[in-house]
Amino acid sequence: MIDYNQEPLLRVENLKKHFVIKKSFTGIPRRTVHAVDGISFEIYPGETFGLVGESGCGKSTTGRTIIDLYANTSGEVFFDGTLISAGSDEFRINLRKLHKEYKTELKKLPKEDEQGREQLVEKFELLLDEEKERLHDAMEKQSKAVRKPRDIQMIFQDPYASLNPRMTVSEIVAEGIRTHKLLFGADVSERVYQLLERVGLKREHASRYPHEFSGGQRQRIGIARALAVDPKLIICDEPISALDVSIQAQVVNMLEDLQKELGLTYLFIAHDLSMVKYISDRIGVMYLGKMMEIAESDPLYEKPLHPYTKSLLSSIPLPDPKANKKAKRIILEGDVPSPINPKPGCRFAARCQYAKEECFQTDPEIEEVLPGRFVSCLRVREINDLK
Amino acid sequence: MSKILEVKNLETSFFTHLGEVKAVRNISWDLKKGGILGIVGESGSGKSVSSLSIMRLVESPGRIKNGQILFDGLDLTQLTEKEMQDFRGSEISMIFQDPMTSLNPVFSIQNQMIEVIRRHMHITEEKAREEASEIKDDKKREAVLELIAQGITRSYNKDEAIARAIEYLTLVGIPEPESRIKQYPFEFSGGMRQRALIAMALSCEPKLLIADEPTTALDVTIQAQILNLLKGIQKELSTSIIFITHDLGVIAEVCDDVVVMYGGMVMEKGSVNDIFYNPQHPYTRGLHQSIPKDIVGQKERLVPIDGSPPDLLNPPKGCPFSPRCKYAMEICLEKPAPAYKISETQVSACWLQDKDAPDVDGFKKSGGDDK
Repeated sequence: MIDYNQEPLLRVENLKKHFVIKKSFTGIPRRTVHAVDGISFEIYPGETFGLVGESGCGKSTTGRTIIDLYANTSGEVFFDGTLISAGSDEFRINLRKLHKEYKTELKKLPKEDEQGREQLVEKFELLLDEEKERLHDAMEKQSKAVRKPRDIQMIFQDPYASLNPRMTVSEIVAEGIRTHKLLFGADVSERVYQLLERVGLKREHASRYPHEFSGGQRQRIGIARALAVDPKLIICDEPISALDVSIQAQVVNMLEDLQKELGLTYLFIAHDLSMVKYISDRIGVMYLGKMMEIAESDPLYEKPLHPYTKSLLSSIPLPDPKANKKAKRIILEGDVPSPINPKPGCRFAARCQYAKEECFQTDPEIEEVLPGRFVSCLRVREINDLK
Repeated sequence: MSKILEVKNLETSFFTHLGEVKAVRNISWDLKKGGILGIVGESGSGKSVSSLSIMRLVESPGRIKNGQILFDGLDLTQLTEKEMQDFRGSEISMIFQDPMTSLNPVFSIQNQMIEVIRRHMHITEEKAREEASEIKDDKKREAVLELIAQGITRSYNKDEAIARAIEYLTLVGIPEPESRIKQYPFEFSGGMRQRALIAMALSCEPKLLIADEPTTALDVTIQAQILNLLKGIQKELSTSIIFITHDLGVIAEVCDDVVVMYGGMVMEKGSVNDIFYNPQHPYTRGLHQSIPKDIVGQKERLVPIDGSPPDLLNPPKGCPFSPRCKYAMEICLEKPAPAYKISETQVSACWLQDKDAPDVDGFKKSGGDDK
């Protein structure tokens, strides 16, 4: 069992990642994809934290932002208590927006209205100072952030695209060892052999090229590469979705064994809900860049609390014909809305059968509804008959 | 119940420079009228090639080497390409995995939908007679009437075809079909595109619909919508459906009968209850054990199938599954197993079902071959 009272290994606080796709002449974003829009969660040592959601919900972006493959827009990521990533872009954009607002307001006032002008200048100077202060703080934090590339590694979805076709397996696996100057000379190849054997490949595979391997074997090479630098946390970004059913189980079992043996912690990103349930201790459900629900996996699947989780879990077809006939499916209408300049209010409101007026106005905060169960829904207590 | 489709000893190969790739090796199965048949298998098991063979869409260097495909008693392998064109889209239609690549990006949905309808649909005799009676020229009218008597009527015109297309878009649940039909594929979301494709496939009232991994590229919530739609269509229009997938959950959800394929051969076939509650082939059992069983409850460790799928250029001499099978006997490596009949509905191709085989792990014995 995982001890949830200890210091978390990874703490993500209010993480945001926005992609600006259209800017105005002055550099103020017009259209922004809110891929990840303020999510917070913690991962404890030795735990597997599953992140699920439909395509475009921002689960992969979350993984990539944590490991700094994408620059963080705002929010902080702590690893083992140290700040490893912080963002300031949001404050910079806010400052620009405020400045523009100030100028347009100023233009509107007639030139004769000296008093009005003075008041406006005073008001905006204050606001601008505050915003500058915030930006300054964020930038200072950013400069203090220490990256820990050795401690966090990643396994990618597509085993065909994530290995360099011009490098041999031993070059691929040893690259990290050499970069971090962990071992030298003959020790490196000895370590590579060891790693290959650990992931179920053979010594003689070391001199071959990626194209000589099947999908499952390539994913093993990817895992060996991640293990080469003795990481503490591995971000698994859909590691099994490109593989055949019978091969998936091989990889999942291996990941579990490695976790036990090496005391690894996983962030497991996937859209196959039954596999995520199988491998994860706790699960976070994402929808359009927001975290909808976080809970331990058994209680989550037994009794989902958020309306989105309810319908998501009810739509899994089970490998059991009789159970399927009995199952009550909550089939959602329509599609996932676009994450470009999202409307205020709950992201799920438009497709939610319980949505009320207030759901379209107020953005719900994620809160602990039951011990260990975090839900972001205004009406969660009403819907589930909770106090 | 009568059979709409019978596949007998079908063999399809690709003759590449490296040698003959035997994608489908001697498979036989049939589909009941109005039923849903699931074909399950991993990549390279021949499930897609067998469906392409039914449509006669196997492209060079591939060709059907041997076997019969009886559609309502008519052998499709004997038809000429021209005759086959009348079948495709009107009697048998197909929907593919990736809804983006199977729609043409430069034509509107309307353009693509009416193409099929205008190619295949003819107006009813009643309506044709009505139209003929309005023709003033006696000679012309008589000629038209004679054609009608032979059962030949004119095909749909553009407006009629559009009306029909809109009708089917409504059926598959596309909101505001009148305006959406003028849009282009990129303006549709993934789920919508798949719906449009289903509408297109159904628009000529085919007797058989082949769905090749129709939900693999979609999210679970959208998958639930599409599965629901397909089940509804099968009930409403009593279309027979062949459902190809690698997801056992989807099979359990929609199918009546299941064919399990591996390495180009049929490993086991039976009703959905046979395959899920009483699997008799080691490969089917292996598949069941390698996916998490219960969503809720105790966690059992997964039992993977060791090794990897066979190379179809040099398939194993015997049973294609024998190199990965933990029960493999000497004969398994030598000769592929015949189809043993387990019950009225279930057939399994494994030597363990032979009456001389040892008793292991509750595999049933069969009285004789399925023939």
